[in-house]
Amino acid sequence: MLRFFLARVAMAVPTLLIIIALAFFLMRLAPGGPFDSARALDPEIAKNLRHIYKLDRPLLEQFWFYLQSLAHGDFGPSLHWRDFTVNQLFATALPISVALGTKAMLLAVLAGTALGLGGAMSKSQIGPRIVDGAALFGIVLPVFVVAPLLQLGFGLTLHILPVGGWNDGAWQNQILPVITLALPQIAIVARLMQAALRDALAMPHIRTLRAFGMPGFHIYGHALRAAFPPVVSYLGLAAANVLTGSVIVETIFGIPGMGRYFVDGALGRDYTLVMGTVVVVAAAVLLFNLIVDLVLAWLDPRVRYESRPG
Amino acid sequence: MSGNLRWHRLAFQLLVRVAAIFFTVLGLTIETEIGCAAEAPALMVWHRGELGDPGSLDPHKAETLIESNILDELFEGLVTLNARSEFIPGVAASWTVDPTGTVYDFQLRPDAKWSNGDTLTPDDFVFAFRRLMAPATGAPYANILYTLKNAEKINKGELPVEALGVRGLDAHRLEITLEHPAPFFISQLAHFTAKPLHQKSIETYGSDFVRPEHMVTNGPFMLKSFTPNDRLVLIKNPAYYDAAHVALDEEIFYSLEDRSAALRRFMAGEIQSYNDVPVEQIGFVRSHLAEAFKVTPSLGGYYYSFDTRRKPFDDRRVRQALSMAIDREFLAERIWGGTMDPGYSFVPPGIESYGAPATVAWKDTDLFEREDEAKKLLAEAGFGPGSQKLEVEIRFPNSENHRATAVAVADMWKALGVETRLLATDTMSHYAFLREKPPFDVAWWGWFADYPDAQNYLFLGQSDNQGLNHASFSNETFNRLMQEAQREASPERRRAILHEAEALLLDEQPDLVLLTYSSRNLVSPKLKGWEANVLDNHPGRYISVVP
Repeated sequence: MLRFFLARVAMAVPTLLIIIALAFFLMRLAPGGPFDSARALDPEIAKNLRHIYKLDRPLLEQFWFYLQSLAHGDFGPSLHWRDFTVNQLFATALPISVALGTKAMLLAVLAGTALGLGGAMSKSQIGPRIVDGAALFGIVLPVFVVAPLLQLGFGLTLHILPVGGWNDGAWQNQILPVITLALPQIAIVARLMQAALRDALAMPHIRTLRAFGMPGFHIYGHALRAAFPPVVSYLGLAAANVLTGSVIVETIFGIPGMGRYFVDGALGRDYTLVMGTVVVVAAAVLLFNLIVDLVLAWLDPRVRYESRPG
Repeated sequence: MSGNLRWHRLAFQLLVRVAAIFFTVLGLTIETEIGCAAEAPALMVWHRGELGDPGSLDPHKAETLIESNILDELFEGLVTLNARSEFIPGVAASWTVDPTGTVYDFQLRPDAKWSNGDTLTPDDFVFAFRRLMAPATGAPYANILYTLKNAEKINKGELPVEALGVRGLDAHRLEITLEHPAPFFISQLAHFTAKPLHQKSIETYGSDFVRPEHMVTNGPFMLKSFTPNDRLVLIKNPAYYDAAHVALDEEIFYSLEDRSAALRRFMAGEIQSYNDVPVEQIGFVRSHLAEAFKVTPSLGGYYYSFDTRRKPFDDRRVRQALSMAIDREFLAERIWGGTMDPGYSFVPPGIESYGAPATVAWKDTDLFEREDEAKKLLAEAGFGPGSQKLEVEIRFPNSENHRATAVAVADMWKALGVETRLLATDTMSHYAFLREKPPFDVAWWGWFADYPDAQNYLFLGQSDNQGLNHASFSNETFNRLMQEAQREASPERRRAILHEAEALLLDEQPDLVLLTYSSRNLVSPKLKGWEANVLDNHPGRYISVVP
């Protein structure tokens, strides 16, 4: 297990470096820079600004500067929110995205599992059909339709929840964004869980347990354990996405999370901010992939034993 | 079997439990909502929606309208604006000008203070102007105040900052010397580049002086907190000389880019004003929020620039023809839902010192007659049936309204036998394109006044205006007229010269004026003291909120 873990960590570092380099150089390909705006700057002033931000140095030199400050954990100054460093922006936004994302994933796992379980246990055809139908709905409905509908329903019509804003994390303000984030995930988890459970229930070792007369509780426990791997694999990827923020949910509900920095940074050519977001998201994806692999190895002993020599 | 039925029920119960938790939380929410719905009754707060965040709270790094709105609340310059956007004395109680029109003597209010209790002195202005012009500051808007003596040379590194024509005469008098007489100079002093700065804060904290714990201001408000993408909170400045008349306790700016979401928050009462409206919902807004919806002409122009460096757009007849054939009323009413006005002059109407602007000669001619005239002009220039076909490419930033406008214009040009291609790029790329100026046919751009003077529009046609003369218009007579206007001390004569220059510009049509902007605001009836005006300026100093 330990060798497996160390090997994966060792591979993550060069992967991250390649991603950083790609992002750095690709971004400079887009026309325009951070100081282009409706009111064109006096060319002398523009030159001066570029000099102050070291944007007039050769690209490789700029890249080397960037790597050096990254090694110190310094993402640099934001070029759009010029009173802040990228580290300061992330210090507020990352915990918010993680908090919302974690709640959404938890809701997704609980509700999705319950739905999948219900569908798999149903004796007739109707149960799974309902779950499949509801899941399709949840996957197909775009976020920018669901979010305004929720705002209109709970906010403007029933007046029981705020329409938007973060309000320093008040739980009333978190409910609608969490539900919006969770809905597509609930749908996918429900479908995956249902299909996996049906397969698991048909497995030889389950039939053996039934033959021994084990109580239903015990049987479903084993079946769930066998059914989890595909769900866990999916969750790993989904978690990285959900936890680093969804730009649409954040924009519509007015949440100061990480997702908006990605898009606002790219559109505004805020090089340092985009690079910082790329590093954070890439690191999150690598980390979650690693966690998923570890959990899978724990859940399914065959993975562990197969990777042992001899 | 009973076993299965039991587990079936258990799964169902799990789902029910999730739902139960949700509704319990909702129930708690209802209780706490009712409890929190009434804010502490003593606090009067203006919840103000804006289209985004300020990029910086340092007046010497600011560029956008959002920053201008916030900085106007925090700092007050020598001159300021009242609720109707009229210029009134600010920190300067009065001033005199010498006969040459280049030396101003400002007498500062003796009761002007900073928010930490320090007295405001002329040195605060001297320090601020010098810092504005210092090349190391990198102020994007420094060139607005090149009216100050030696400012341009200092900003380009040719002279030291001490050479700037700003000095304190005594504890309450500030003398400003200009490069040449400028009747609009007083209106420039209300701009955020002309705000004073607290020298000690900047010397102690450097660029961190803008953080809430360090910021010292002299305006009606002070900075309490700023969370990017969330909100910016201002509180009343008790040291402000007119604090007794400031009704608001707090002013909160919300950064709301999504106009539809902002509209919903306005309707829920979470914000009391917002300075835009989702254009596709204007019908709904007009019918359901008629009292709150305010459309006011504002000083912004919507232009299509021709690249006059290239054939055939170097031919005045081609430019005139393409301009004449456009039905501006259709664009304003049908494409923009009445939130824009047809544009027939280069300078938008509404600048008091300029009066009614000049208009194109064919403004009142019937559209069909204009089309015929346009075809004639094109034929003279060598385009039309039997000769070459004219092909035009319109470049614009990728947004629905720009696209709809371009499509409509292309259709109108089709009637002249012109073949039009549309090219949309993202906003940044479009501005970068305008800056780099590779060859193009027609490119969109918009221009809003920095200060209400005709010169702030007409200077776009000057051949020495490298950054903003997108059409590369170069006309000796026009340049000469603009220089004359710059040197002219008499306001009436100056006005006449500028009108002449505008007429020339309209006759040449290097930039095709399509529309002039209107500001679109949603204003809650609970907000008092909010007055519609052409500068779309609404200082919190005059605002109060009815509970």
